[in-house]
This record gives sequence, C-alpha cells and structure tokens, in this order.
Amino acid sequence: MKGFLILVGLSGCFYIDPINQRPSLAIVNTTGDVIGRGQIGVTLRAEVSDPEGQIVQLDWRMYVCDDASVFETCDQQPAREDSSTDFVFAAPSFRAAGGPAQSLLIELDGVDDLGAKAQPSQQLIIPLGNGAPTLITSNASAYGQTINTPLDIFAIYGDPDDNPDNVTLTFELFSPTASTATLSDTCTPQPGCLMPADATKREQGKRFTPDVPGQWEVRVTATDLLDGSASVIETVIVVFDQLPCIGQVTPAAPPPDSQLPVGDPTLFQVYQVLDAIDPYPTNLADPILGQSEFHWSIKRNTGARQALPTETGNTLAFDPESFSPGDVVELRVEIEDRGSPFPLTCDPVEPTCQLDPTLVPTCLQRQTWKVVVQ
Amino acid sequence: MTASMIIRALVSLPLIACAGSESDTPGQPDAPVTPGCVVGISNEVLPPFASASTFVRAVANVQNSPGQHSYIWFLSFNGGPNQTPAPAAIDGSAVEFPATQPGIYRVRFRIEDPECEEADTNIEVNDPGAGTTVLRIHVVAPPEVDRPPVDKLVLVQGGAVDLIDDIQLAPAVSANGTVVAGGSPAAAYLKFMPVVGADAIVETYSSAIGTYSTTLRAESHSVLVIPTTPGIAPQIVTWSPGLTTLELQQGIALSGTVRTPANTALAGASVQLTVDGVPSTIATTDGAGAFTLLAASQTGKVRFEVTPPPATGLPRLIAESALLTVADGLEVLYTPSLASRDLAGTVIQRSGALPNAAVTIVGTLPNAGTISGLVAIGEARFSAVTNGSGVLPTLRVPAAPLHAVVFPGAVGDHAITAIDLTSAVPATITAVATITRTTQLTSAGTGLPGAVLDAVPTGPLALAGAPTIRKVAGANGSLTIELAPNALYDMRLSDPNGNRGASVIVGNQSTANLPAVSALAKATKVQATVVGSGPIPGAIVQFLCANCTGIERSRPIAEGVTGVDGRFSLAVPDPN
Repeated sequence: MKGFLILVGLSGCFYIDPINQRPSLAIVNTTGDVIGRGQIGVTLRAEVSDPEGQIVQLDWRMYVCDDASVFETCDQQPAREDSSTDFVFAAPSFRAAGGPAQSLLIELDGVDDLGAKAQPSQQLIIPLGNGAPTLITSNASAYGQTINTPLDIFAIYGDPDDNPDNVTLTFELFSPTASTATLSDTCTPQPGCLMPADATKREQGKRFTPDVPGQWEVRVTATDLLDGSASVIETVIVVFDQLPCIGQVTPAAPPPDSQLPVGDPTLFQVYQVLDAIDPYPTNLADPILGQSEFHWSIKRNTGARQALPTETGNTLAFDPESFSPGDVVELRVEIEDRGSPFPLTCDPVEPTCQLDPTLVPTCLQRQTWKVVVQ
Repeated sequence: MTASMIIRALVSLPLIACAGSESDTPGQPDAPVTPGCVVGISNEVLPPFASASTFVRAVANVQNSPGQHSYIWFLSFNGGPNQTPAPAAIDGSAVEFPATQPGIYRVRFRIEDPECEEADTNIEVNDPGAGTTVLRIHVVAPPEVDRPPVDKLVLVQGGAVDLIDDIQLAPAVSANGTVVAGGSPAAAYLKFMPVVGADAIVETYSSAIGTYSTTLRAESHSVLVIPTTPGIAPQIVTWSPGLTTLELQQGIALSGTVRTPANTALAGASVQLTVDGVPSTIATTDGAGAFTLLAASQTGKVRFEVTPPPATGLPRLIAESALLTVADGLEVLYTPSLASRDLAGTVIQRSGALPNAAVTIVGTLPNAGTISGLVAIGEARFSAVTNGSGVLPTLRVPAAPLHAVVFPGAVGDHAITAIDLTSAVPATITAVATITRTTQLTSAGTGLPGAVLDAVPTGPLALAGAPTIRKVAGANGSLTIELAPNALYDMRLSDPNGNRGASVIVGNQSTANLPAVSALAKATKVQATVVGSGPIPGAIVQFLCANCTGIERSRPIAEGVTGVDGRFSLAVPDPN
C-alpha cells in the first residue's frame, strides 16, 4: 500500500492528498450459536466497511480443532478456505487425524484495492456440539398410490459423528380420516434392507396399506445416543382407482371423417392399457395386479353393431376377405378395469369415449377404427 | 461354437453407471451431459460357453476419477449369494472366475470415490450346445418420446436367458408435406415403410387439402398411398428427408366386362386388381357388365378379385399370377355350368329349430371362372338369419359342396355342418352342439394360472369369419372351452406373464384331439434395454416370427413393456 503526500506551493496554499485508510471487518454468524458436527449450510457473513468504498478482497480460513482457543490443538492446515462474503460450509465431524472435531477456528482477513489490510484479523471460535442424525425419506408405490394397495416409506439415515447403527428411527402414521391402517416393516436396517451405496448410511422401510383416499403423512424421526434428532414428514396423496386408458394401438386409428383402407388380413392391437392396478400387459405373479378387460365389437356398413364376446384379448384379427370391396366396417375396442363402469356411458355413436373429460392427456376407454375394405 | 458366440463373448459392455447421464424420461427433453465419474465392466469368456475349463475375466473401467483406486468386487451366479472373485490384476482392477455352469454371472465393483456409482453387469455364459433362432423384434416408444418404431431381426441363443444388444431407437425428423396429384391436393391414407425393416411402419393421413404431418427416422421410406380423393390409383412413392411433396400419378386405366354363367352382363359386381401388393381402385360394373379401374402398374405379381352382388348366388372369383402384364379389355367369365340354389325354407335345427340364428354358407369352388384367361377359384360366403321358426329366408348360394356355419346366439356357441347343394337343397341343416373340452396349460409340468388359450378358427369356420375364442386358465392352469366337434382351430398357447413359458401354436387342431395337458414351450428369457439418448421406459416390445407372412407376421410371440430402467425380459421358445 502506498500513501502519497504531495505538497504544492501555490500562492501559499497547500493540498494534501487523503491517506488511504484500512478497511474494517466483522464476522456475523447467521446460523446460530448451536452448531453440530456434520451440520450443513453453516453460514458466516463478512461485514465489510472501507472508508473509501473500495472493494475488499476477503480471505476466510477454517481450522478444525480440539480447543480452538489454543491454536496448537488445531489442524495446521485450514480445512476450508473461501473468498466469498458468505462463507458457507458443512461443519466437519472429524479432525484430519481422525479424532472428533470439538470446535472450529474461523479467521477472516481483508485487503482493499490499495493493499490496506484490515487489522486485526477477525477470529471466531465455534464450539461444535453433537451432530444430529441425517435423514432422507422417500416413498414408493408399485400401484400408483391407489387406495387399498401397499405403500412403502423408506428412510436413509446416518450420523455425522457416530456409527449409524447407533441411530434409532421411529415412524408415525397420520391418516386423513379415520383409518385402521398400520405400519409394518418392509425392511429393517440389517439384514433385509438394502445397504445404501454410502457405507456411512443405513436404510429402513415401513409399509402401510391406506384404506381411505387423501393426504397421508408419515413422520420419521432419527435419534442418536445423545438425543440428537432429525425429523422428516413424508407426504403421500392416495387416490381412488383411476380409469384405465387405452395406450398405443395399431393400426393407427383414422381421424374423424377418414377411413382406414385394409386389403390384407390385419391384426388390430391395443399394445398397452395404462392403469395402476389393472394394466396390460400385466404381471400375473403380482397378487395385487389384475388386467383390464377388452370388449370388441364390429359393425358392417349400416348394420347393427355386434359384440364379439369371445374376443377378449388385446388383439382382433380382421380378414377383409370376409367382406366385399368397398364395405365400411367399424371395429371397436372398449376396456374396463375392476372399478370402471361398463357398459361405457358414452354415446355408442361416438368413435371414442373418455369417461372423465377433464383428464389430460387424453384417457380413452373406447377406440374405433373405421375400415374400408379394399 | 459360432462366430456370433465369440463376438458376443468378447463384447465390451456399455458403460452402465454414469453420473449426469441422459435419460429419455417421457416428457423430459434431452439434457446435456455433465462430465462425471463413469464406471463400467468389460468382460471376456473363454471359451465362450460353460465348461470345466471356462474362465471369465472382468475388467473395471473407471473414467473421470483420478488417482489410484481400491476395488471391492462382488460375484453372484443366477441370483445366488455373493462371492468374492479372485483378483486378476495387481491393482485389483480385474478379476477372474470359473464358469462351469451356463447361466447369468452378475459382477459388480465399487471404488472408494463417492462420486462413482457401483458398476454392475450381467455376463451370460451359454450352454455349449445352445441353439439359435432368428426372430423379429418390434419396438414402439411411448408417445412422449419422439423416436420412430424399429423392427429388425435379432439372433436369439438358447438357454435360460439370452442378453441381446440394446435396442436403439433413432431420433425422429419431421415429415410435413402435401400429397398432390396432377397439381391438385389429394386426401389419402399414407403408410411410411423404412427401406430397411419395413415393418416399422408409420401411418398417417393427408387432409382434404393434401397436407400431412408425422415424424420418421431420417432415412428413405417407401410410402403406400391410398387416395380417398376419387380418380387416383393407390401407389407407392418414395419419401426421403426434406421432401415436402408426394407427387402421385393418376394411374393406368384398365377396362373390362363381367359376365354370368349364362353369358349375360353382371351388374353391380366389384372388381379390384392388385399388382405387387398395391391395390387398384375398386370398380363396379354397370348394367352392361363393364368396368374401368385405375392401377399404378399393370405388370408384376397380380391378383384379381371379382365380388358379385350376394343376391346372385355367385361366388367371388379370385385369380392370381406370379408374373403377368394386365392388358386392357379384361374379360371375367363365370363357368357356364355353375348353378345356384336357394336355401329359402331350410330349417336350421339342433334339438329343435334354431330361431334367429346367424348362418353363413361358405366354401371354395375350383374352376369357378376365368379372368383374362387365368383360371379363377370361387369363394362362397353368404349370410342370413333364421326367422322365429328357425327357417332360412331366401339365400341363394352356389350349387356345390359347401359348409353351413351357424351361430345360434349364445356367447361362443357355433357349429359347422357340411352340406352338398350340388343337386338339391336340404330340408334341414343340423347345427351340432359344441362340446366342452378341458385342458391344463403347463410349463415344465407345472400348471400356469392366468395362461391363455386362443382357439383361432381355421378352414370353413375362418371363411365364415368366426371369432377367436379366448380362455384364461384358472388356479391350477386348467380351463374349459366350448368347441365345435368337427371343426379345426389353430391352438395358440401363451403366457401373458411373459416369463413362465413361451408361446406355442398347434396348427389345425381338431376338437377331438385337444389334449388334457397343453404344455407351453420351454422358454428362453430374452433381455435387453431399449435406449434413445438414454434408457426408454414404457416402450412396447414384441417378438415376432421372422419369416411369417399374412396375419401371422403381426401376431406377437411375446410382448411386454420396458420398465423404469428401459429393460425388458420376454420369454420366447428356447431354440435348443
């Protein structure tokens, strides 16, 4: 840093260039006084003041210590350095040599544009307390969170300063209305539950079968040996059995006012029915899953529509040889699942049927192919 | 040992755990790749089948994770307990283990870098006697993923499981344009067929102003265009990326006449010509028996079809030629000796008369006529419904040996009765009742609840358009089915569950011969992942016959949907 004093003799007058002054610093702990080992998002803020309004280059250093008031008990190399106004870090759990981190020594220096350094360096000692367990929850449903089907709640947990096996979990179930549902073990920490990829974590799961629709909550609390705890509420929206939807079909259904020309034997197929508990294809080995039913019918020219009650699969073979060239034949498939109404309530004249017109994207329960025989 | 086995044994598996990798999650656009730790496993199986001396070497591949690593390896066989394979490299980056049994050897490793996920791969080791078969795989992406379908041949190796290469769905390009004929827009049905893998069709329609819009793979396609705008012949044109106009020709006009057995003009008959699979327009004869149709071509594999009005009692004429140039001035002549009978008054009965029964008289007549000199067969298919007393109304049919197919009305009830109308009309036709047959669907001797038996009518029943009868096996795999006693069916056994047994087709099975136990085929589970820029969940996967024609070409041998990881596992008949 340089300072200049310039004396200019003009008619006995003096001009003195101002002397650059040092910036001043302060550390503000915005996180709170109680900080635990492993706590993430610990934030310290540098309050900077420079009389000339210059930009001050900051230099944060964090040392991990046994007793931060005695520097010799700290790791000699800073565990973290930064130059931001906000110094954000996860509180270390261990010293470099492996012992538990008891306190942190935070140092902050600042230098302005002209090299003036804030004096003295700012220091902050942060005692570290017991690190609360970490806890992440998730839910899983193989059945679209449908009422009366099982729901799993999983918790992955650990302890930043202790063995995760010393953490205990509690699960509490809250139903939207009166319910008899209870929690049971899906998997206990070991054995029977998958070990997360992170060896410092454990996983536990609970299962319940909601018997009413609405918002269900499961409060999971992880507690360590020193009563440090973390709690998370996992929310699940349970729904009634939804309508089955016809997925992709082949041949492509013609748009209104168009006809599908068919000159060769053709297999009309519903590739897929989209439904949480009655899909097609389905998994028969799953005791909860069922399969939507297919109802095919045919209408030839101006004749009446005829049901094809033995055609209950997802396909219908159509042989144009059974008709005359130019015949217009309507082939129709309709679906129902264990809870949807059938016969469909739509006008039979309509080529498609969407029982719930509010659904987006479109969810059809009827598809009609208007075929012209070639 | 085949070349393909060697190639597959030496495969370097794709990198399977990739931080920041892309995924074709429906509704999510492709995202840029973020470099991160990437791990994978290469493997080598020598010799490439299970034996007492076979060893597998697995090698760790780690990218974007600097420094020395320590490796923890896991090995399991066919889902069994974990073992630790022997190291095969000083730094632990490779392991080796024996493969004395055919099956799936699952190999995993971890390293200490928390940025790296666990690497995991399945190594398939086949039986030395494993056979192979070629199937078609047809894959359709979910609507949210704009990647056109694929249809291609795959080599399936016998054994419990066959891991085939990933099924890649190529990106789509827009195909927007206009269909034009003679400078005017044309409404039409459009079927786009890739030059390679033509079964991966994409269908759409052009509007009244000729416009169409779809998405296709960025490669040339043949397009079957069937105009609905009158006066234009159906035809095949070529589409290539960037082409915005499909230009149609009007077609070649071919005229002719249709005459009855008495050599009089036949009015109201439909006439159609198909050349190399492309149909002509459909023409209808006028009062003089004359017609004119439009065809895209007049030379090739030809099929004529002439359908007279039902009231004439004349059969449909069909004539084919493997190679013919169709000349103008077509002459369609019925055989002069061909007579017809009227079944009016004939009673359809079982234990008593069958009121309101649907009756279809079917049969095939050789030498029923000629079309431009080609001998034509006659196909008889005439339908009526009995009155309240089981009596047929006027129903004129050819005077020939035919079959009466009767649908009395109850669900699944059907009957087939041979009738000879050559010289007379029977007073009654007896529709024999169906009989109940029981069979148990099994795999490896175990009943398969939920497995399916489709009885697909063949012969006269098929001619009459009789529907398929589907039955689903109950708790122990057993089912009962009502079949006509003197009919034939293709019995198709399948397992919608996909992995318990492979589908079986028993062709032209008589009702009497339906066995008490119907075994599904021993299965090979074919597994792979459907990928675009990443795994594609919700894709439809079908395995189909590679060489079949007609409707059998589109009947799936096995079908399923990819899981959230884009993988599928479907059971096909074990080629061993």
